[in-house]
Amino acid sequence: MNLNRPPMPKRVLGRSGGMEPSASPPTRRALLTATVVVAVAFLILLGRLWQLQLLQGEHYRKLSETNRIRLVDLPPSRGLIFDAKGRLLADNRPAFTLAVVPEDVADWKVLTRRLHSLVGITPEEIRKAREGAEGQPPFKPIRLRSHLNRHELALLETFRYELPGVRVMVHYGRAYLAPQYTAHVIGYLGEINQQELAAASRARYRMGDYVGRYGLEKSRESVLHGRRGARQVEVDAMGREIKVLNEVEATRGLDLTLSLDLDLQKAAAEAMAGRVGAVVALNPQNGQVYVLYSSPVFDQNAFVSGMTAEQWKVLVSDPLHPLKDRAISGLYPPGSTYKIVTASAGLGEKVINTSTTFFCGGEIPFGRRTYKCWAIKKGGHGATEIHKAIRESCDIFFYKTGLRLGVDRLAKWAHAFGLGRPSGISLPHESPGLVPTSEWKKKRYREPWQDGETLSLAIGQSFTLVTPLQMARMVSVIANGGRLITPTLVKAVTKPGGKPVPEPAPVISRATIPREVRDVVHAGLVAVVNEPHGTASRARLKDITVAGKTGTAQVVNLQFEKLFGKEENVPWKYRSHALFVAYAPAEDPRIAVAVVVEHGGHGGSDAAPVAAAVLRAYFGLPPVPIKLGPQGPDAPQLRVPAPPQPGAGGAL
Amino acid sequence: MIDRRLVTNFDWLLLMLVLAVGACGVINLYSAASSFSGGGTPVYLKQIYWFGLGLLVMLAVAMVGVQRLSSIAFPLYALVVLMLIAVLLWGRVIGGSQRWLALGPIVLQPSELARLAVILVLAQYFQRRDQNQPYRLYQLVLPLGLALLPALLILKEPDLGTALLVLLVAASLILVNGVRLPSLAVAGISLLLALPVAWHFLKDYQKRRIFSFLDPESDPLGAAYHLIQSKIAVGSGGFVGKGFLSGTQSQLHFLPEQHTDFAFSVLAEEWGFLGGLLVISLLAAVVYRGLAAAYRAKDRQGLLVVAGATAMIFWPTVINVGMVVGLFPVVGIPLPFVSYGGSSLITTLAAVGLIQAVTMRRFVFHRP
Repeated sequence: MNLNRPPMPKRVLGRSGGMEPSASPPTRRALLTATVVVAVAFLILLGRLWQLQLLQGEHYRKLSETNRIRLVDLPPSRGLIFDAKGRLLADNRPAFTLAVVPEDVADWKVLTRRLHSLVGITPEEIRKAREGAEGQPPFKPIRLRSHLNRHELALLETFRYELPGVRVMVHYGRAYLAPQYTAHVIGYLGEINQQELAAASRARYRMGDYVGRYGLEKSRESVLHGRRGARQVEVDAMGREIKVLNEVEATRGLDLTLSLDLDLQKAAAEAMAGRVGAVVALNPQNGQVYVLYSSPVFDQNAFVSGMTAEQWKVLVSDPLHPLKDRAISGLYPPGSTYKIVTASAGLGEKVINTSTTFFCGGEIPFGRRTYKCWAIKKGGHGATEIHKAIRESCDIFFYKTGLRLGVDRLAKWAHAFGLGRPSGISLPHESPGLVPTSEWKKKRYREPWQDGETLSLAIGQSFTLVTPLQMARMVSVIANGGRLITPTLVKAVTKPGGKPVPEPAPVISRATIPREVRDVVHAGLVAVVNEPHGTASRARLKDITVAGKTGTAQVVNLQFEKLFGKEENVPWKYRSHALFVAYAPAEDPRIAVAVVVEHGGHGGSDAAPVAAAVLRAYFGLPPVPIKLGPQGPDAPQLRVPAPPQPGAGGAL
Repeated sequence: MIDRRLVTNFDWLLLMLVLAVGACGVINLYSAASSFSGGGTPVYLKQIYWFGLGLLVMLAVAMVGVQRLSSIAFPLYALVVLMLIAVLLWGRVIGGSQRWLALGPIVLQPSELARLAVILVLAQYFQRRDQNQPYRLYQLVLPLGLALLPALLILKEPDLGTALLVLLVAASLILVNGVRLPSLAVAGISLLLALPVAWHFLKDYQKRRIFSFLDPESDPLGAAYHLIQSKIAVGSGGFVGKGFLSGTQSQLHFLPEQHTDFAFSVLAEEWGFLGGLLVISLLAAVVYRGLAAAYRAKDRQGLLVVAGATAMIFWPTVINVGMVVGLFPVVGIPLPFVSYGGSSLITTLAAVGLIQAVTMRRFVFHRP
């Protein structure tokens, strides 16, 4: 093709053959250059093909026949998780798989019989495994059973020489060392699925990898996972590895050291034994979480070895939902613990002051209803000012304060205490809770807010819902002098070598409520535990001043006495939730606690002792037996997961 | 309605060449993806469907013509840029990078459309300026910007290969349009100086690939491994190849991405130098038909569109084959008509459509 012809005279339109190109001379030159460039480029490619395939063809043919190089993937092991005192909570332990190498088997019949008698593998299982491996080279092991236990391992080891072809393969899998205490916080792993695999880079995740599915395992997946390595090996024509050419080792994921304290977590779990609910304890000054316990727990290690469909069904259909982390996603009416918010709002908005006195005669009429104080049987609290109202949890005082405030001002203060929004702890599935406003009600129910609802709201009934973690955060505001903290669980992230990777410092917001307001409420909370008539004398400790607030959140509005007579006969599911929030020492608070016992009865008698047990453990006081109230005739029996077997841990 | 001359002037030879190289590609895919287990439509069949769809797109583009397409060049360009931004914001992540945009049930890759849009918009720009002198550097700021904007957005996805192609196609078009020699020299020097800056924008894995190309020993487990295996595959093919379905490198999965970016190594292993020669010659012939069409185009706009469309076939061919035989670092660019992949196939056939559109109308004068 000659593109460089001189301009030709104009030809008749439509005649076949070329016509005068419209391209200007410089453009034509450029096209000609392009032609040359293209020709050179394609010639270079062909030349290179010639070089590779003909000049060096023999060399490469030999390489392809004899010197096959394969990449063997080396998955990383996962970072470990420690508690605040360096005790291991999540480990990687060897798991043992029984496999058979077909080419080494002397006699399949004998082997089948021996394996059946030793570890109970049926001939049928072996037949199926062999069928599944058909077409594989005979030196590739066929897996017969994973997760051998100690006993089986010992038997196989003993009779090793009578079992030619049998191999025990080792790999590392996750083992949780305190599943009965840390199941919800640490969480568990699951095999990566197709979608996640497609979204991830191949350098990081491969098929068969395990990724965090719950708890810290999920939220800290990116640091725990580690970096995979690879080994370049030479294999023969059959694919058998001949030698290792090169290796880049896998790097273990980073280790986490938590602020969680296993001793305190245990104390909480033991105090809650047999009860449903949650316990949270944290440092009110900086938000480091010491206890995050939810009951009932589930068995983390059951996820490790792979659950049967049956086990999974039992777990998810359990009416108590053991998989739910009640500490961060359980939603409860705050009950009288909310009076901390109402009291602060009343003082802060100056609708009451320290000398404002309301008379409590046990009930007040409002609209078409009568609103009662819990102390109605005693004839009410009489003349009540704020200190007494907090100490004795007078409902009438807070009804009246609430009415002066209105729903939206209460909501503003609830937000200041961190209610109605996630706390920011780095765990999945945290619930934001609910703080109602008049606008919210209009949107949600298409009805205006009723003043009667403000009465219930002021004592924590109504629509408000909080999580135990939010309750601990709320009481921390009073404990630390008026600041809102962000709870954190991870104290340090450490490289396997031991070099710590800095964790972002916990966010501590500026003062969220005025100091004077805080001081009044603080004095009230000290009185709740320590003064006569206080509602939480059972949380009192020797030599250490505890401050706290009880709460009893009604679940149903029933005339219990008429229906069931004695209190012991009230069915479990109708009993009120028992709540308690506390901090200590009151002069210089170092720990704040929140306890929810579902259908526990009363905050003072059923939740406060649990908080006291955690505080005792924190301050190193000897534990005292806890006597909680009766549970009701239909109280559920909780399943307690077994601690892990010593030695042979869980596995993939 | 359809002018008879449109049919007689249709470049049937170009179509035959495209069909021939496409057929080679499908046969090769049958082998390259034969050992993929799992149900679903086999890869080679899917490639045939995509090819059919691509041919329809080619015909549609040819029928509509460059005139009408150019009239919407700027809106089209704006739309593509918006889609590229949307991809970065809401795109679907596949294989670690964000390239796909889901519009209801349709999932598309706007970066593929970007090349076509850039060609049309540049041709339209130069046509409007209608300057017969070679361009000076400052006159090229705007056209270069028009190419850089989508290229940078694509680089952010990250998709280095496609970003590079957008720039190469745009550069080819600008060069064919004419640049003053001194300006060209200045541009070349400043490009060299800009390279260290560009290096900053590369992702770590992209830097690693370039390192491992320069020094295969530095990364024997990553990209260099791919390079070594690909060279072994190509080299061991010899003169006549190991035979269809008999390439040990490919059938035993030593090759990475063997149905997409490394499809040519499968072909060279199984069909040898002869097979490689055939496919490269066919692709070269396609490129030459494109250059000839550019030469005979009746106006500057047609010429530039065809030059750009030809560059869209030439550059990926050279880069892909160059990568497979170890002349270039590993960049994820598919070989036109041969690698598996719906969007790249359709885009390439749309480019062929642009060439045809101009060729068909080389004797037709539109209304002044």
